[in-house]
Amino acid sequence: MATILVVDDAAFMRMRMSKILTEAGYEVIQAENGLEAVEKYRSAKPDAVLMDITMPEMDGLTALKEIRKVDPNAKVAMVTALGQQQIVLEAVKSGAKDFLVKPAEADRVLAAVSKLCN
Amino acid sequence: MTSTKGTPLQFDLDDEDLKLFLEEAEEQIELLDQSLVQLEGEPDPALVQRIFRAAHTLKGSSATIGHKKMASLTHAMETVLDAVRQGRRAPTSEVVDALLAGLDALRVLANEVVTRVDSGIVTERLEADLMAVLDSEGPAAASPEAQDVPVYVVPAGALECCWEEVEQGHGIFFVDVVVASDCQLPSIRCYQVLQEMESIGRLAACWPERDVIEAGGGEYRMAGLLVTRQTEEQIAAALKAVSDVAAVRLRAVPPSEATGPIEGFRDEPQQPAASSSEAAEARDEAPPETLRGGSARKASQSVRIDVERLDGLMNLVGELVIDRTRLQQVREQLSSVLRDASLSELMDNFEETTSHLARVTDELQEQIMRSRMLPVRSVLSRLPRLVRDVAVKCGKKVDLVTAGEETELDRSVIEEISDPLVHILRNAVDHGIESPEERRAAGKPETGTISVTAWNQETYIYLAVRDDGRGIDTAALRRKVVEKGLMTREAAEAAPDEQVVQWIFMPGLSTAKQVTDVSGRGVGMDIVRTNIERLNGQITVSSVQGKGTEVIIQLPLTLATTKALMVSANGTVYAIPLVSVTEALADHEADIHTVGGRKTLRLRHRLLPMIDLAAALGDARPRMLPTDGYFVVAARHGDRQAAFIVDRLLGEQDVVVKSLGDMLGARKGLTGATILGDGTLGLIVDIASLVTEQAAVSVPA
Repeated sequence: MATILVVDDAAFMRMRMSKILTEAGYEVIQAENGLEAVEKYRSAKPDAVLMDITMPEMDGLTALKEIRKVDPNAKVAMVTALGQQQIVLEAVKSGAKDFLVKPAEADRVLAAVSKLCN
Repeated sequence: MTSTKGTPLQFDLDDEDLKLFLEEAEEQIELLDQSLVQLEGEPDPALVQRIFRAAHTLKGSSATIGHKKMASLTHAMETVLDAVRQGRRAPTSEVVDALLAGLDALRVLANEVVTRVDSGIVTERLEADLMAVLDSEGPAAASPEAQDVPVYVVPAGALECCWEEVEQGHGIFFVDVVVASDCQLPSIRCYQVLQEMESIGRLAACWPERDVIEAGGGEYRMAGLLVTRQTEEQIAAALKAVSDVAAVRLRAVPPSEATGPIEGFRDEPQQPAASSSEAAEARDEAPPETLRGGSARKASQSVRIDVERLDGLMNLVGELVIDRTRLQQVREQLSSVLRDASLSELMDNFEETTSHLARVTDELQEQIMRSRMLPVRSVLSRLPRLVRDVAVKCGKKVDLVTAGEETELDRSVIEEISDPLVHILRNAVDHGIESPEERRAAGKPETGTISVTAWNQETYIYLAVRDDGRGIDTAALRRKVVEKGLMTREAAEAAPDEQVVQWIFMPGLSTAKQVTDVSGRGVGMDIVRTNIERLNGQITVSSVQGKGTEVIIQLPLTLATTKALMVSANGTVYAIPLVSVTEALADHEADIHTVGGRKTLRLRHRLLPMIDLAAALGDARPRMLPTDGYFVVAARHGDRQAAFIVDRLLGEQDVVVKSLGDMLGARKGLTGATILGDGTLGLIVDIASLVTEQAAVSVPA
């Protein structure tokens, strides 16, 4: 089964996402910030990434760009709060494949992830 | 069915979620509250879309936390709205009524998430009503077939870049893409579609234009002229791979027709489908919201701030303002004491710093005050619903027009202004606007118009409520005041009409012919005036019989600071709000008489009772007026005036209002307190209550 990297500085969001994904049979790894996300991407080579935008150490947009340097085909979906439209646009321009608006319903998360993995 | 009222409830969310859920629910409910009444008649498709989306969002979030009742009620509302949206059901008043009833229940249900106790609301009946509305043979809304086929204009020379490809046999396709109506960032989906089109071919033109999409206008539909070697199926598959894309329609365009105006796709009328909105989503083809030009909606550049935090900031700035004033005083004292040349440089430095500090503090205070401001929209938006309800109850026909929703004022004032405004509006509908028959007989349109307008001027906000009703019956008012023994017949007859209309603010007067359950019994305009004046505001009315009435409210922009005349009396400093002060003079300039054993000031042909301010405010200490003369401050409340005796005038000042509750507990005759430059307490005088009770404390001669 596919491995998904969930990146979010909020433990609650990571937990919620992980729960949704593991229940659907995905393997989940977690990162607390952009820097950790890049490291984990390098070491674990996940099939897809759900990336929060606002995080300490390294934000989601920078992490997206770093990951794309490591793997130009990386499948990254941004997870955004409302009001970050311009950042999401920037992310899409920088190669993000999709986005989810928080709080995302489970079926949306799963639909996005299965799209990324195909 | 047995009632479940009072049963504890459980929801699937923690405190963090709860806050988010409530904020969002409140936002959506507020949106529904503002817009549902506008649904009736021939609503703007964009509005219907917005309302639908609000119901949809509420459904989603309530289902997520496991609030079954709320989810099933919002589902029913969404189903009805979906029918309206697709033109299968005209938004008649019964549709709107059913939706409004649902909305009222939603508020209670949303609150259950906080109380965690079943409120006993039975949603089944509301849902049945909604479904009944849907099934009833109501006239369908204007048929979508009547809609024009949208026309897109291909800019001149758009295809020039692609002739080479066209000559090589690439096809030219007109592509129309609709984004699902519940997508929250549709512009980005449009941008992704645009990206996708560019990855499979050349995009010769697109609507809206690229920069409009990038600016995030929030459009749910886009179209493009695509030059590609792919087949129709391949294009459709590629574009449908973008999340939230609900529909892709396209057709090949011969090169000869790919310039100038080009016909788009007509919106097909939807077949009534199963009411499951999941099914509705699957074939979701939202009507176009905006096609051309930038949309008015812009991504908001704001953050939410807890009100308490803002209040805290305002308090801190208040402290800074006090320190600033204190520093300025110290500087003045120092400069008068230190004339030593060796210190002059130091003094200059000190002066510079204090004046800089003063400027920055002022600016900071201003900015924080601004950040506490809210547009009056939040108050005005509640009015259409109110007017509609009252009009239905009274059998009147009324149109409400509001303007100036953007006008901003302090949130503390917003909270206070709502009740008086509601009262004035009820009055306007109930007493002002005539019945349709009466209006017809008077040669007026059957539907009356009430307008509520807000605007800013200097440091005040004005709210005007105007109606085109029957006007105030001055003859009836004259009769009433005489009947109630408030005035002699001669005085009442002699008063000019402009003055008579102000009598509606007198306590205990109501000219309505019968008591209705709408405006109640004469409670009202006097209390409205008292409340407004308590906010340091003023209210005036003017009226032309048979033509209408206008009520104007003037309020300060903020209650956090107020301009005041500072005075001292018996060793205490008082602040008298400047709006109430009519005159301030030294005793030797004042025309003081003794009438009926009481000191009276004669001012501009009026006799004002003279009141010792300190005594009136309960200062029981022995009182000695200064031997070198005292001062008199005349102040008004409505059309009553009184003159207050004080020891000294200390000048005008902006004072930061602090509630007395924080310091002393409520005290009669005072609205608050302020901290003065030297750190002592100044008391803010409540002129309204003092002037009203004047007789009791007039100074014996």
